[in-house]
Amino acid sequence: MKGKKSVSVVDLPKRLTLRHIQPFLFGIGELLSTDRPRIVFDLSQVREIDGAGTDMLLHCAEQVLRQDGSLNLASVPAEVMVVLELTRMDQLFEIFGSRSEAVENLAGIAS
Amino acid sequence: MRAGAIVILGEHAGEHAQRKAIGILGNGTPGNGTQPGNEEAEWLDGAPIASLELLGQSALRRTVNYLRQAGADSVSFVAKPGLSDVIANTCGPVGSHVLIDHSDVPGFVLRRVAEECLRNGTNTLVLIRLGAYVEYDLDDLLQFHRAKSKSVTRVYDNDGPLDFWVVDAARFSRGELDIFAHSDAVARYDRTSYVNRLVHAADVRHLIVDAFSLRHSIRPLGTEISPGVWLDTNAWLHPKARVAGPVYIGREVRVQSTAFVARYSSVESSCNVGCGTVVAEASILAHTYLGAWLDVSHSVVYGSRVANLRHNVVVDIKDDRLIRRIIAAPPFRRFFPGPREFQRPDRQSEPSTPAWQADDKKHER
Repeated sequence: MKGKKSVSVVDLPKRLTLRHIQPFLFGIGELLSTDRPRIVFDLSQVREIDGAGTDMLLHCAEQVLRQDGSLNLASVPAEVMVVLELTRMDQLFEIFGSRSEAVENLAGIAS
Repeated sequence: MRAGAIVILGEHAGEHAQRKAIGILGNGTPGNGTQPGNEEAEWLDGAPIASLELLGQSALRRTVNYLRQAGADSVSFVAKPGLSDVIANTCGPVGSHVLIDHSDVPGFVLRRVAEECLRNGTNTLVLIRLGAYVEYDLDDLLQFHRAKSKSVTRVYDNDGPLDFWVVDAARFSRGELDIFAHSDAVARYDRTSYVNRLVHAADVRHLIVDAFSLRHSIRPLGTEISPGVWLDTNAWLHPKARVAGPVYIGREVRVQSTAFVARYSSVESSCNVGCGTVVAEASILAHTYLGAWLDVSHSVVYGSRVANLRHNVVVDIKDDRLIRRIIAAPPFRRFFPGPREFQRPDRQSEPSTPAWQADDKKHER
């Protein structure tokens, strides 16, 4: 994970499916619990996402909001974007075309 | 596997025109003028787009209906193996005769069919590779062909040649004609009233939108229950579902509570639209299940696949809670004569045929 100011960038794995999300959630649990987290999920490597994957994103957003933080999505591939729009998840997140744009957005909020 | 969809229409040289149309179904993009195209375009959901139900009926069936109305007394199809079921399910009830082409010799079956037409007294054939949906005046086309006095007339639109020809039957059956030739020997007919090449999912949407916009003669099946809203047989809308036209809801469709179907959308037969789901500027092909609280827009959905036209991608949705194919019961097969089998001309052994096909054996080599 890389940081700029107080923003953390997380690269999501290739598969966000029922079988693969648990290890990922375990890995970022501590980050989601920090005070006022500023997190960018980089989805550029994601190739597959199902209902469990979108539920996971929602869970992360809930956790971040509870900590009075912010969560942006960045570099969403077209195929993943289709699923996010299908499940209306695109209305719950700010989605940026690149990692740097998402980080700049949160850095501006943090400062 | 590769084949062309061609309709052959024959006319007597004499006073009484005998119109027998023979359709040949297959895959492949429209020819580029020199070769028929690849076999991946023009297909969706494992079948040629022309055979898919759109607004209640396939382009193939509509073409067959037009030929019958124009005077064709029967319609036959020549199909590559694997496509006979598609034709049967689409055109079986209209008295079609299906010929299966097992030969690897290009044009072999077509020439055999042309020979049959000649024996029946026809001298002019219309060949249509059924990929594009084309609206035209058949009488005008035949008169044009006769007036030009050329052996081949090819139909064109603004984008170039279509796989649609009128040919001299005798010369075609003897293999004398190159229907893909670009030369002065081929007359160009460009008086079509509507063409949709049906190559990709976007073309499906164009066809649907053009139908609602009255740009061609296709009309949705069913009843127009309110301006711009068509409901087909046994379609069911939950009292709390909403529909805003122009919209077509197909046979046996279930639209659940608080679902919303709007804006030039079509939901083909036996689909389910889940609670709270929005379908807008989208086409849902037959036997598709849409789960609850989805937003399906700017897309063509078939089986578990979403062809999203805004992002220009096709996504396979593996989560069947979201989208999946509804497995249909096997269709009831009305009885009609089974397909004739055409083998390679050099095969030594005769294929075994049931007794009721025995009469056709004399036509096979």
